[in-house]
Formats: sequence, structure tokens, C-alpha cells
Amino acid sequence: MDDVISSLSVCMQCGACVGSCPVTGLNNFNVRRLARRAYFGWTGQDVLKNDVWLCLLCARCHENCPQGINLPEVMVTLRQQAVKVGATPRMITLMKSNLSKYGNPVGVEAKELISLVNEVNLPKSGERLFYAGFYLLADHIESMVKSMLRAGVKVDKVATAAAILQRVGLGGLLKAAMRGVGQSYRETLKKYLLLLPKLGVEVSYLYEEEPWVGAELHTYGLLDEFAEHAKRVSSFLKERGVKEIITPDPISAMAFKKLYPEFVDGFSVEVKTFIEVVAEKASKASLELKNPVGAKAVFHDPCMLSRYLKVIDEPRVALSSVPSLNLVEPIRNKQYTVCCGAGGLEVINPSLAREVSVKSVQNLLSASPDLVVSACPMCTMMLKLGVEKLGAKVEVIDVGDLLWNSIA
Amino acid sequence: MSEEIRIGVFVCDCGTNIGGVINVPEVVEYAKTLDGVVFADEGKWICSVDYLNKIKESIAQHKLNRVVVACCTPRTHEPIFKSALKEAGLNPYLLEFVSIREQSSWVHRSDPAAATEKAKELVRMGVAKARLLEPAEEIRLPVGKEALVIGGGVTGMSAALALAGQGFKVWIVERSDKVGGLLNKLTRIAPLDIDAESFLQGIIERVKAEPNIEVLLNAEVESIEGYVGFFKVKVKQGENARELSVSTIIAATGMNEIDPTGLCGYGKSPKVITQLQLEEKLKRGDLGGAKKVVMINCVGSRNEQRGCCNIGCLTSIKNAKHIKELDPQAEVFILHRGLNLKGMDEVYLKDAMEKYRIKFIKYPDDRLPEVSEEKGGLTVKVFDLLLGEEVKLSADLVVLTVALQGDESVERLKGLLKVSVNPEGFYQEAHIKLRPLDFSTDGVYLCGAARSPKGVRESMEEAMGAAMRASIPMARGYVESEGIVAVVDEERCVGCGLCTKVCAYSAIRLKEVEGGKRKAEVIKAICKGCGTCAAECPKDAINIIHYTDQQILAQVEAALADKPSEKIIAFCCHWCALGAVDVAGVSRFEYPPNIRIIRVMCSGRVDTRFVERAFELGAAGVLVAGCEFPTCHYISGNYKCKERIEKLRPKLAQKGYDPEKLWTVWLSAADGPKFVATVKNMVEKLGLRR
Repeated sequence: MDDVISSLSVCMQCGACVGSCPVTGLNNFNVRRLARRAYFGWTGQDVLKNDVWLCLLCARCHENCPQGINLPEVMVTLRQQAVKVGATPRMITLMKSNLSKYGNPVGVEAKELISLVNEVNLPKSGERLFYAGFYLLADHIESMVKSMLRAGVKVDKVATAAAILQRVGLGGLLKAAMRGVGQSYRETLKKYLLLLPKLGVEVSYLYEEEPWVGAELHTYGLLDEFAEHAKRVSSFLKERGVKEIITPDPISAMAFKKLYPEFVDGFSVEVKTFIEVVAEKASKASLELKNPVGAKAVFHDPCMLSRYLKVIDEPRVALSSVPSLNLVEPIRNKQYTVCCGAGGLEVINPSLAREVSVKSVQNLLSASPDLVVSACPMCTMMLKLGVEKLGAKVEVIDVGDLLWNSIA
Repeated sequence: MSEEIRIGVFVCDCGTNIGGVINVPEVVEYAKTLDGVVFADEGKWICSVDYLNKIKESIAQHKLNRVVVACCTPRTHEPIFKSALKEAGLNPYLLEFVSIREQSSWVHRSDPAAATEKAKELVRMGVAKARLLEPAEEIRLPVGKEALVIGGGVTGMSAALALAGQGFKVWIVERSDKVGGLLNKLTRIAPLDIDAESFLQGIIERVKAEPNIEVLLNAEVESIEGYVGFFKVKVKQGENARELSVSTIIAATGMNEIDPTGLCGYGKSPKVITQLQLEEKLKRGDLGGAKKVVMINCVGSRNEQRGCCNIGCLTSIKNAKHIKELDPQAEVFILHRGLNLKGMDEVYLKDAMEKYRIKFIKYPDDRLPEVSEEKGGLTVKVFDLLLGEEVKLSADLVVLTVALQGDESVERLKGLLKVSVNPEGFYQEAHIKLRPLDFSTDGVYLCGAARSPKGVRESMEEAMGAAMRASIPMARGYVESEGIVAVVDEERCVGCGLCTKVCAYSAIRLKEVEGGKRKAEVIKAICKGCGTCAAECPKDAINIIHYTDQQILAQVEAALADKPSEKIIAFCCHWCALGAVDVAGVSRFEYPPNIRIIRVMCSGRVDTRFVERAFELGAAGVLVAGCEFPTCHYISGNYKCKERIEKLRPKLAQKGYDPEKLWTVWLSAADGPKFVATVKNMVEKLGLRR
């Protein structure tokens, strides 16, 4: 913990982070000041209860920091401090308990989650594993978020939000939410599963046995819990002889590729994102996309994909293979992409998260597209909220759906 | 001198610069009509080698004994013509320089007729002065090879070593019982963290090994008599007194912290100390168990009283680093108003922040942090500008980086050395840019922290600089003044001593003469010829060679011989005023041709008599132009002039003249526009026809 905070000694308080941060201006959140408080040890209850939970961990600050300070890492360390003094938002406690009871943070039985994808038949064991990750939970998370937004959870202070939720009844709220759950993300997931053989890639899939990656434990500063969880998942994968993971979910990809090796000794599973596989095929000219998609489209770079994993060219290579697709770029793109508003904030302060998504959509609209192509289920969820709030005449589509339309 | 005056006038075309506007042949013909002129000629470029030879030939051929050149500005080619006169066997002070280019052809281009008329009048003025010119000599004073350094710190010792190394004999007078000064109290010298003690020892060894240096400890200067080359200094050492004969003196008396009692809790708690007091602890390697140290910079500095102390930022970082080295667990804050670091010192700062984790808080200029005692410890309240809020720091030691002031000996020494001192107790140099290590008194120099607060590096640089300055007259063996010096008519002098009070160079003093009277005496070799004494003398007993009252009055009369009511007489000092006039000329700014400029070396020369005579003769107005404040070329001539003019105004009114017609302007040598604006303003306000 001390090492991470000490890395702030090179901070010259230039404020480039504040300028990059999507939350700046929507709130009193000021990452420069927060960094200063962290370094000087002036992080009291007020800071640990509120400020540290407003960050999207989108790493846009880190991208622009002239000193290369890893601010997201600092933020996670501060959240760890907050957890230790009990300043954790209630939602997180709930998600943690769901994870231990149900094996996933939304608290739904795994069998129920995969009911739709069961229709696709893939071997359950093999060295190359397809990992569904957040694509499996996105329908439920979307419902939760929409439900919270309807309940008017729109306050600045996370602590107050928690209090409101308490009054409204978090449990009841979420139960109601579960009744209105959709299927679109799992439909998309199904398409990914069907796409892979068409791309000539053989994978296995664990279905209801897929272990939850547990990325949110790290995001929310529950580092001891994350370490423990990761070790268990790692052992399980080893047992199953998994050597390579292919996933369309950038969040899981980031967790397996960057976090697991840090927290688990000897974790050596190779990780590839789905879009990298597609790009590989496209560059070898072995990608056969027949159906044209005559639309003007922008690709929204997910934070996890562009900044954390540095996968930037591949989506463009993949999309340039779609016949008649006019791919344009918005003003802020690639490693400068504007976060969609997820990153864990969507269930802590959904109203603030939606304001961020509006900013993100506005950036994408700068290219005047008809279509926004997303490569992350959380991005898709948030961008749709932003588009709805703005009343923008643009469609948000997952790249998997787009490829399926073009390949079938 | 009753010889026949035979003046030669040489008028230059300067190509088309003058010839293209002024009818030069007409001016030449006019010159021939003037009293005393036996020869007048026109030249294309009279500064050329060919024409200079022609001038020399003319001098011989026509037996000329005075020369007037009418051409560019004296500020460029005066030395060339003076040399020509010398080569022709004439005393170079028998030259009068008239500027008809910068003062006429270049600035009255659209009125060639007026430019020509003005040129003629300027020549007439020049001839009027030339008639009264007398030969003069440069004056030399012998200077020996002994020097005195007051102050035995690292600065004084460095200066002494630099002088001794050249073969000069040096005495160091140190009032304490050991050399080393402030450096004795320091542990390290930033930014390389050099060990102060061994550094000092190194210098002391060199001083000891130098046979040309004699160090007098426990010694104080009691009195200083004389002038450069002839200083007689009485030094008291305990019971003994001795007299040193030296040619030059260097003041290197150093500085000290101010007493910050009343600021930031100093005096109320023993846990609030100054940086020098911290040095004592650092020397012992014992912080007394202090774990949380807060340093507050700029205490007593950067306010209405005084500016930045220059070394506070570096000192605080140096000591903070030292504390962290003694105890890596200690937490050190530096509260500052901006870190004044230059060049490679920034690397020192980077180290402090990144490696030593010293924490910096910038506080606003108008909110000094507050220190209070709470529950046996100290609390420091400071407004963190980066957070935009006040924070509270707990500390068990507060270190104040306090302002610095000149050593206490300055109060007494300034009278002995006859030098000026600023309110902070630091010595005042002759000119901040042109003569930074000289006092205005010849032969006395200053350096190091005695001049302004600075660190060891800069002090030693200045010490070597001052030594260099002192060695110039000593190596040369003499000081020499131009022939333009003051001369006292002892018959008229009543020994009032006013002249001695206004001389910035202490170049005039009272001497005892028979009958118990006192008379003013000029130390010619150090007189700069500014003329302030001459203008101030109530008995008109002092004159300046080459700028005598009679010569200047003759110029005034010559200028106002025709149509005085259209003329403005402008007394311009050679340095700034004439500089501005020349810049106006070079820039080809046009202004009305009513101005007739009379050159003086310093505005301090302008006697009230000159002004009154101009009004007596019917001048439309009088302009006195000198150097802008505070930088007079002769230190304080402009101040004296200003005072004199102000006192003159009511007297003018009494005599029936309109004081509104007397103007002053104070400019820099580059300010052509200001001169032009003043002239235009004057012409308009005085209702003069253009």
C-alpha cells in the first residue's frame, strides 16, 4: 500500500489528470486534489466514504499524466483503505455476499444465467477456453441499474445514496429488478459462441461451471478477497488443463491478463480478446464477411481494451473487413477514448454514471454516425443509456452482432 | 591667455545625412562671419582619414588654436577629433563639438530652411564657447599595491586571496576571534552538500600559506582618512591600535538572520527555531527526538520591507534533506511561497521530493502560516493553495527560514567609508548594472552578502570580482581623471562645505589654510567633473574645466541673439539626455526646430544662473533634461538638479518670469520618443509657432 502511495512523490500537481477525467465537472470530484490528499495522508472519512468511489478507473488520467503515475492503482489502494475503515458502499457488501453465495455478484444461479446459451453445443474441456464473463451478467446488471435510476438514486454523495437505498430497500429493489430482466446480451453471447467455429477457431466452454473472474473485487479495493478468489479460480483452470482463454469481454480479459499474474504466482494462461482473433483472421485474408452493412459507424474504444490492454488497431482491422461499412473516427478515440460511465460506478452512483455516458455519446456523435459499435457489454449498456437520455438518432450494436450479421 | 583666438570651423555633409537637408555651404559662409573664426570649410565626411589629415593641415596652415566641428553627435566621434588635434600639436580640450545631424538635419527634414538656420545658430553657439576654451590635462594620482579587506568570512578571504595572488599586500580585518564568518555555523553547502567545515578549512589553509595576506583578528576599523591610493586606516585590536596605509578597500562584512520574534510563534515556544539554530542541531546530529518537522519559508521576507532572501529555498531543502538523512522516518514539510531555484538546483529539488519524500505546500502571499502550541506539541495552520483549503499540521519542531540583513557593523562603517546603505543594512553599489561591485567613492569596493543576501557560490564570485576591480588601479599604478574636473577659486570660497555634502565621490574636501580658515580642495584624480558642486556653490567659487560658467553663459547668449522669444534653451546631460536626443535623431523623429541644446556632462551642472540668464534674454522656455531616477551617471547629480530647479521656481516668479516656462524631463538614454514628446508638448504649451 505504502509503495503505491509513495509513487505519488513525482506528482507535480499539473492537473492533466483533472482535464482528462470524465467525472470532472459533473461533480466535486477532483483527482488531482485527491492524489495530493492521498500522498500527504490527508484521507479522512469524508474522502474515503465519497471521493474514492466516484472514480471510473478508466485510466484516462494515467494516459495523460506526464509523470506516468498509475492513478487507477492509487485509487484502488485508497479503496482498500476505505474498506479497512468500513467506508464501503452498501452495494459492494451485497455483491460480495452474492459472490460467495451464488458464485457471481448479481446473485443469480449459474444454471439460470446460461439457460439461453445452452442451445449452443461446445466441448466442455480443452486447452483453449471461451470465457463469457460479463456477457453472462449484463442483462441482470442492466436491469439493476435501470431500476435504481427509476428509484431516483441520483445523489452526489455515495453515503447518502446508500442511505436512500436503505430506505427504499435495496433487497426489494433488486428483487423487483430481477423480474424485468432482458435477454439481449446473452443473445449476443450466443452469437459469439456460434461465430468461433465459423472463424475456424476451436474452443471449449465451461457453461455453468465457468468460474467468475472476480474483477469487481479488485475494482472495489477488496484486494485480500480478490487474491483469494483468483487463486481458487487459477487452481480450477489448471485442473481443467486450460492454457489459453479467448473472451469477448475486455474486463475479464484485463483481469486474467494483468491482475491474475500479479496476484497468483505462476499464473501462465494466455489471454486473447475476441477482436484480436478476428483481426488476425482479417489480416490473413481468411475472414469471409459477405453481407454488407451499409452504415456510417464509429467504434467506441472500451477503456479496458484500448488503455489497459492496448488493443487499438485490431478493432479497426476487423471492422474494415465488413463490406460497405463506413468507419469514421470521433474526436476522442483510441487511447483517448471517453469512458462509457461503467467501471463499477454504474451500481454505486448510476445517475452520475449516466451523466458520464452522455459525455461519451456526445464524443461519438462528433463523427455524425448512424451506428456505434461497442466491444464490451458494459459499454453497450451505458452507451444505450446515454443515447436514450440524449434522444440521439443512433443505434448501439455489439461488434459480435455486427459480425454475425455480416458473416451469416 | 591673451593670444589671438584663431578658430577653425569644419562643417560636415555626412554624405546626404546632413548635406541633403542643410545648406552646408551656407553654414560655412556664415561661420566665416563669426568673431574669431579665421577658417571655415566643408567636408563630405570629416571623420574620414583623408579629411582628418586636412584638419591637421589646416591647423598648421592657418595657425588655428581652437577647432569647432559641426557634424554628428559627440557621443560617437569626439575621441577621433581629439586625437587629430593632439597629433596636430593642439591640446585636445580646445575642441568644441556641434551636433547638426542628430539635432538638426535628421529631425527637421521637412523644413530644410529652419534646419539650416538652426545649424547656423548651433555653430554660433559652438564658436562662442570655443572662444573661451582653455587647454586642460588629464590628472593622475599614484596608487600603491596594498589593500584592506574588511571582514574575514569566506568572501573576504576569497577577495584577499585573489588580490594576494597578483602580488598585492592585503590586510584582513576581522572583528571576531576567528575567520570564516557565517560558514562557521553551517554544516553543508548546497546544492552539492559539500561539507562546510572542510571547505572552510581549505580556504583558511590557503590564506595561512599566503605570505601576502595578514589577518588581524579581534580587530575593528576605527577611522578611515584619505582617498584612493592614500587611505589611512586606524585599526583597534584589543588594547593596541595600528595605522594601515592602503590604496584600496573592500567591504565584505556579510549578513545575519533577522530576529523573528513575534512571527510564527518564535519566542513563544522553544520548539520554534530559525534555520541557523537548526544548523546547530544538525552539527550535533541530534534533532532532540523531533519526528514531525515543519519549515516555514519567507518569514519576514517578500513584503513591503524587503524582497526575497535568495537562499531560503535552497537552505530549507538542504536542511530538510539533512534531517531525513539523520532520521528517515521523520516527516518534513516545507511551507513556501514558490521555490526560487535556478539551473541545476532544480535537480536538488527533484531529489528532495522523489527520493527523500519531503512534502511541499505553497501558501498564499498574504497568509503567513500560524503556529500555536496545543497539548504539548505545535500546530501549524497553513492554507494549501493546491487544495484550496486550510490544513492543520502537527509538528514537534518548527523551523523558520527568516529574512537576512546586513551585518551590524555596517551602521558604523558606512560613516567611516562614506558610503550609502539601504534600509535592510546592505551596502549600496554605485550602479546596479554598470558598477555592481564599486562604491561610488573611488578605490572602495563591496562584495558578497554585505551587498545583498546570497549564498557561498555567488559571494565568492563577487569577491573575485571586487578583487579584480580593486586591482585595476593598483596594477596600473594610478587613477586618472579626464581634464574635465572642478577647480576652486580660493579667493571666493568661504569654506561653507556645501560642496563636500553634494559630492557623490567624496572628491572635494575642506582643508585648513592659514588664519584658521577652511577652503574647499578638489582631489582632481577622483573628481568626475559632474559639476554638481559648482552649481551648488553659493559663492560661485567653483568652476568646471571645459564647462565653465562663462562658456555656458556664452552659449546661452549666442543662442538667444536672434528671435529669443521663439527659442527654447535645453540643458541636456551628456549621458542620458543627449543619448535620448541622439536616439530621436537616429529614428528620424521630427519635432519643432525651436530647441537649442547646450550640452553639460551632468544635469547637476545646471546652475540657476544659467536658467535665469536665459529668461533674462527673453527665451520662450528652458528645458532641463537629465538621467531618469534613480540612475544618474554621476550617482546623484540628477537629484540635486531636481531639488535646485524646484527651489528656483518661486524665485523666478519673484523676478517676474513665468515658472511655467521652466520644464524638466528625466529620461533613459534610449528614450528618444520621450524627448520628442516633451519638446512637442513644450512648443504647444508655450504657444510657439512651429
